[in-house]
Amino acid sequence: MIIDLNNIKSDPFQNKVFDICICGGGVAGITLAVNLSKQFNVALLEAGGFEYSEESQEVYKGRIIGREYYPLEETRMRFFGGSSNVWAGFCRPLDYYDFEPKKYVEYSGWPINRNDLDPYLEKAKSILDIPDDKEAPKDQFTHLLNKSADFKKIDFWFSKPTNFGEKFGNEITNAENILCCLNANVTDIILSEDLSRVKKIKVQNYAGKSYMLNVKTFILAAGGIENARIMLNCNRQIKEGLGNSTGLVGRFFAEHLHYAVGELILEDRFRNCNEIRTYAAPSERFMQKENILNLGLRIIRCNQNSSQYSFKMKIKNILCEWSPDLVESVFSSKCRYADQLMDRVVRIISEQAPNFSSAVLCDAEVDKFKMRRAALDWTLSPIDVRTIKNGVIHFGKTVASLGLGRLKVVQWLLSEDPKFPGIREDETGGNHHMCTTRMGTSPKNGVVDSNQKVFGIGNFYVAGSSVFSTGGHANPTFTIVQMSLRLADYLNKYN
Amino acid sequence: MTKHTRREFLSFLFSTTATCFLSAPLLNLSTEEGDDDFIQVNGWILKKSDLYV
Repeated sequence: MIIDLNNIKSDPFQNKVFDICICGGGVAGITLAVNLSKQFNVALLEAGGFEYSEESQEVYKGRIIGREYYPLEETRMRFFGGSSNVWAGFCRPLDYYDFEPKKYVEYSGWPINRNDLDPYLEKAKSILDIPDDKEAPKDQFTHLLNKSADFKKIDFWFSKPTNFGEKFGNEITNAENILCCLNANVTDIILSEDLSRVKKIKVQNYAGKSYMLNVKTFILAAGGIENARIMLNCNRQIKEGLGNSTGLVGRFFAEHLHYAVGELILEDRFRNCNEIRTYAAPSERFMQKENILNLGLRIIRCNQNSSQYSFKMKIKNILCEWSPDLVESVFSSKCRYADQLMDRVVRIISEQAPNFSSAVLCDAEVDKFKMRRAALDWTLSPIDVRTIKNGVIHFGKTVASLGLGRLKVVQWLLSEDPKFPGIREDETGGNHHMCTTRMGTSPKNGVVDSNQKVFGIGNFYVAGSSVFSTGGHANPTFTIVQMSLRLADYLNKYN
Repeated sequence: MTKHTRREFLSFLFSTTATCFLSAPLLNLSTEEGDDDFIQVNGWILKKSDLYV
C-alpha cells in the first residue's frame, strides 16, 4: 500500500507498531522492503514523491567545503527509486582483494569477505535485470592482455538500467505488509530512555505536520551522504549524534575518481577488434608490489577513421609530434596528426583510500525541517594520486611490451604533483557516495558491525553504500543490492 | 615538400636512438628515460626500439 503524507487527513501510524521501518525508497530501501515483507509488516518512508520535485530536491542542498565536487542537490535523487532514476547500469561485484586488509592502507579491510556476499550474486543479477552471461567474444587483444602479470581483462554486467521505482512500484502498492509513505521526511530518531534501542521515528510532510511511528527495528537507507547527515542531526538525546560515540559518522567519505587518462593507438593486428569497450584492472600482485589501490581502466573505441593509418605510420607521426618547434622552423607549419592517430580513449575509475579527513559534516545552515544541511569536505590522500599515476604509466608499459599498442598519458598526470581536472573539465567522480557509516570490527574503526547494525544501538541498522568499509573500483549499485539482500536474510532469520 | 616527405624526413632524423637522445634536449622535449625498456616522450610511453621506425 502506498500513501502520500502530503494528502492524508488522519494519522496513518496511530496505534500501530511496525516490525521494520525503513527510511529511504532507493535501491537499498526498496530491496529491503520487498524482501522483508513476507515475514514482517514494513513501513517504507520515502522523502519525495513518485516524481522529481524541486520541493524535495531542495532539501539536498548543501555546501562543498573541500575539494571541488558536484552540487549536493544534483549528485543524488530525492524521490521514489532514489538514484536508480538516473544511473547508467554498470554492475560488477567487488573483488576478493577489496575486502582484505592491506598493510600499506590504514583502515583497509572489511569485517566480512567476498564469500559472505557471493550467495546473493544471482539474486542481485535478477533484481537488476542483468541478462544471463553470454560468452564474451575471444579476441587477440584480450588474450594478450591476460598474459600480463600486472593487468587483466575484467568484465562488467549491464543492468537495463533498472529503475527500482518503476520495477517495484506495483509490487509495493499491492503488498499487504508494506505501508509506503511518500513525502515522509524523517526528522528525528527517538531512542529508549537507556539509549540502547530505537523506539520511535518522527516524520514530517512538506506542510510541516509531524507524525510518530512506533518501530521494533529501524533501517536507515537514505544514501551515502544523507545517512550520515540524519545520524548527526538526530542529537537531541546524544549530543554528538547517533552511533557517533567515536566520532566516525560522516568520516571516510569516498568516491570513485573518474578521469580520462590517456589515448591509445593499437597495433595493426588489432584493427579488427571491434569491441566498443574493453575493461582492464591491475592484478593483486601488481597492487601489492606498487602499494596502490584498486582501479579499473575503460578502453573505449573513439575513432573509426584511424585505421587508414598503419601502426608504423602512426609511430612516425608521434615522432613528428616530438619536435613541433623543429617542424615549425624548418617547414613553417606544425605537424598535426594527433587527432587522426587515436584508436581508443582510456578512462580510469579509481579507488580512494579510507581517509578520516574526507567527511560529510553538518553545516550551520538548516533546511526547511530545521535539520542542518550537509557540508562535504572531500579530501584525497597521496596514495589516491599515486594509484592513478603508477597504474596508468604501468598500463602504458604493459600494452607496449605486449605489442598491443602505445599509450599517450595526459600531461597533467605526469607532473610531479598532479593537479586533477575540475568538474567542468572531466567527470571527476561517479556520484558514488561511500563509506560514511563504514562497517568495522569495533566502534574504533566503524559505525556499523558486520551485520550492518549500529554499534551500541540494538535495533538500528544502516544500508547502502555508506556501510562499505572501502569502495574498490566497481560501481556500487550491485554491491548495495547484495548487501541489502544479506541484511534482509539476517533479519528474516534472527529478528 | 609534401606532408608525406616531411614525415619521412623526420622519421629519418629520428632513425637512430643516438640521434633521438641527442636531439631531445636540444629540442626542449619532455623526455624521461627509465631503467627499463621504455621512454616517456611528451606523454607517450614508447619502447626504446620504437625509435628505429
